Amino acid sequence: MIKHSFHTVTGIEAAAILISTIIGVGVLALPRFAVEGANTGAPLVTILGILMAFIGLWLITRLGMRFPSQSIIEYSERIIGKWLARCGSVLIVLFFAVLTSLGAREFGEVVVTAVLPRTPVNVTTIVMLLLAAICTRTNMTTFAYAHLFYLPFLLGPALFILAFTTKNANFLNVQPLIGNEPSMMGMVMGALTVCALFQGSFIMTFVIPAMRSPSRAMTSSFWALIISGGMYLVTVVATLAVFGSEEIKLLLWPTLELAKTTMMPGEVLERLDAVFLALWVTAVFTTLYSTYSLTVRAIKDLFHLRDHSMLAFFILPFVFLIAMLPPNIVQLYRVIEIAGRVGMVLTVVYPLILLVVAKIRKQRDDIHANA
Amino acid sequence: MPTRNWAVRLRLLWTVIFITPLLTGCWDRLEVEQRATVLGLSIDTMGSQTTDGSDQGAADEPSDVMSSIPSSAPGKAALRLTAQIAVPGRIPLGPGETGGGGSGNPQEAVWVLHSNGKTLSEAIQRLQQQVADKLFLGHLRVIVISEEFARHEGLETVTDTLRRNPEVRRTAWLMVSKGDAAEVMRTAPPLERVPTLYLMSTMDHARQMGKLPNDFLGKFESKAVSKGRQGVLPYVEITQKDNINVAGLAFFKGYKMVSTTKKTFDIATYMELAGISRGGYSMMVPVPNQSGAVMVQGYRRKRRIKVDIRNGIPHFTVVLHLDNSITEKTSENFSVDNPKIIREIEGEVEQSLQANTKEFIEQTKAEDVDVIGFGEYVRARKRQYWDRNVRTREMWDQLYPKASMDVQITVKIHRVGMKGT
Repeated sequence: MIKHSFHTVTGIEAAAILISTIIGVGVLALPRFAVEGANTGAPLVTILGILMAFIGLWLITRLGMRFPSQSIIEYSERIIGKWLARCGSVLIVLFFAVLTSLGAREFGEVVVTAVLPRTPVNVTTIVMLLLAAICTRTNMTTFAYAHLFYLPFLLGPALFILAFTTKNANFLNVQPLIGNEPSMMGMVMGALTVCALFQGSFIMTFVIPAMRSPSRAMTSSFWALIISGGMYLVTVVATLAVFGSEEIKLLLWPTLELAKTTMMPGEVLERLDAVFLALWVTAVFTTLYSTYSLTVRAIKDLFHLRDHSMLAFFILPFVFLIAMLPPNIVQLYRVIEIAGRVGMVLTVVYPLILLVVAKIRKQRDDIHANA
Repeated sequence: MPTRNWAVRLRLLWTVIFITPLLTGCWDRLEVEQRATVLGLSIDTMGSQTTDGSDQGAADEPSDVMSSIPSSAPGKAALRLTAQIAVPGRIPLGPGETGGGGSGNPQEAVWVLHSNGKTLSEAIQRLQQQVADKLFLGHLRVIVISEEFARHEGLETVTDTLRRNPEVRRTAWLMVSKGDAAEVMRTAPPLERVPTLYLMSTMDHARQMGKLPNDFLGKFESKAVSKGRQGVLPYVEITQKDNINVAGLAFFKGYKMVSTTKKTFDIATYMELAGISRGGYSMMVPVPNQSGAVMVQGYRRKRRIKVDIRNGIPHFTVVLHLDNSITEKTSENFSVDNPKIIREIEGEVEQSLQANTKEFIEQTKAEDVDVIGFGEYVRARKRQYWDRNVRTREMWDQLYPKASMDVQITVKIHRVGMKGT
């Protein structure tokens, strides 16, 4: 009966959680990832990535709605048996711990390179992780409120900046739509990397048990992906139109460069990168908040603990250590790309297996299904 | 009255200890007067011109700061950097401040420094050795490069340094100077107290009046690497000792300058072909069957480029439309209040623009610098042809002179000013 009081997350809040989780560090390098896949076909690669991400999210949401009172860690035990499921769960925990640390490290690197060159990278990284750890101690309701609160600060200024970029845009840069010398391999690889940026949406499996009406979950997932995916797509198109594909390949963080090139009309602000970085820090925080919570909550469910808050600080040193492992930024991005692609197995294939098995075995959580 | 137990106190203490390290303030704090704000840079070839000689002592000995790198010119510094550093407190903050103490001498607001190096970053490092405060490039507005440097050394290492530095604005003006670049930076007419800012406003205003394409540093960088388009930069020269003149455009092939426009009006032709809508150039055209001429000023343009492949070679159809007004008439012997005359003048403008455009395209073809970016149209619109036959920028450079062009120009005169005839 205590559990019942946590069923507070509304459909809109669920969507907000997903959107602000998805939009994170990755947005800075996103155009480069997409361009490396298929030069001017980058928007197409992005769309492909979004579609792949939607498959993953659809599976998670479907499963969640089938077992609306449990998270994937819990119902997987019912579906494929205790020990097999626990292996999967351990992998999920490990993967999201790595994802969190890589996100934090990427954040640290950007901050150190672009704004605070004299601050050590471990400081910028640990501050972000610490913030995520402190906030993770809260319950799902607060979690949802936090995301809903930050969402307008994230989307508003971002769309604002993107709108001003059209002045420097050259739409020849976006053509041909499928890219010069298109290759299936490049496109798929690019799409996989883009899709990996959506992996935070896995948080849905922990949101659904807290939702007031889990039957609305699919609507939330759908709109969240439309909005965040649309946001990503617009970013890629705008960056590509301004710089052209060859230049983007030379830029480590094309989106940040875009903000630097963009001028507000009337020369009110000559560079928008300060504004952009401010909102981007928020975006990174919400993402880390989610992936960190996800890791902690997954551990909690794995060991059937009653409360997760003490775990928050327990895993902090480990996450921080992983974050510090890549020796330089070049290797960091290699690891990020590889981890992202490997993670697809966990965030798409694993739920797919679970759903198929659950369907075959006709398992579902009947008590809450019609709530 | 509240009986706090030790656990609460301990938690409070723990929180305080925990929070304190986060409240230490910004580690990268740097006060305005502690940074040397660089407003402008100029890059010359070493030993290109004898200047005041003040820089000779600073960095003549090789590799005093940096360990030497293998270079095409071993042991010899290739680049001479001149920086204008803003002196805090002396930069005029608004128009109201002119006439105050210390005005009149433009050199006071900035401090001019020289250094040498094989590359730009090496020169900047050497420059830092001479300055107590940290050099700050966040307000770098103008970079002037001498023609000699742009032609022989190329801008590759320069743009590499600028791309890597997070402080540099992509919207800074990059320009090429005829002759000594440091000299151009130093020009300071009485209009503006800070020489670099004068240069900057020259460029900005020219752009606003439609006399210069908005090709700033970032645009040049993009064009320099794109496959079917070459970069251009404003080409300036000093006139009358203290003034600079936007003389034309410098054409680049990749990062190396290859030529310039033949005449200043070619800027207008470039802008027409490049599809920049704001027009600002005037031209004098003789009026057919009359003894006299009129000055016609363009104010708006529209351009469309179509590409099709004819016999395996790209053929471009450029459709240009210009809106103009008449700003002057040289003779009272005829009047322009007649639609027929207007039509005739329009025809005359069309012909003369046709000739200009042809000449411009011929020049770019002869030097195979596709500054308009026709190649981008092939790449974007004729993907299969590009993928099969072109692919690289070298291939396009070879193909471009062979491409055929068809330019259709229509001119409309809408207004004749405040005079009836």
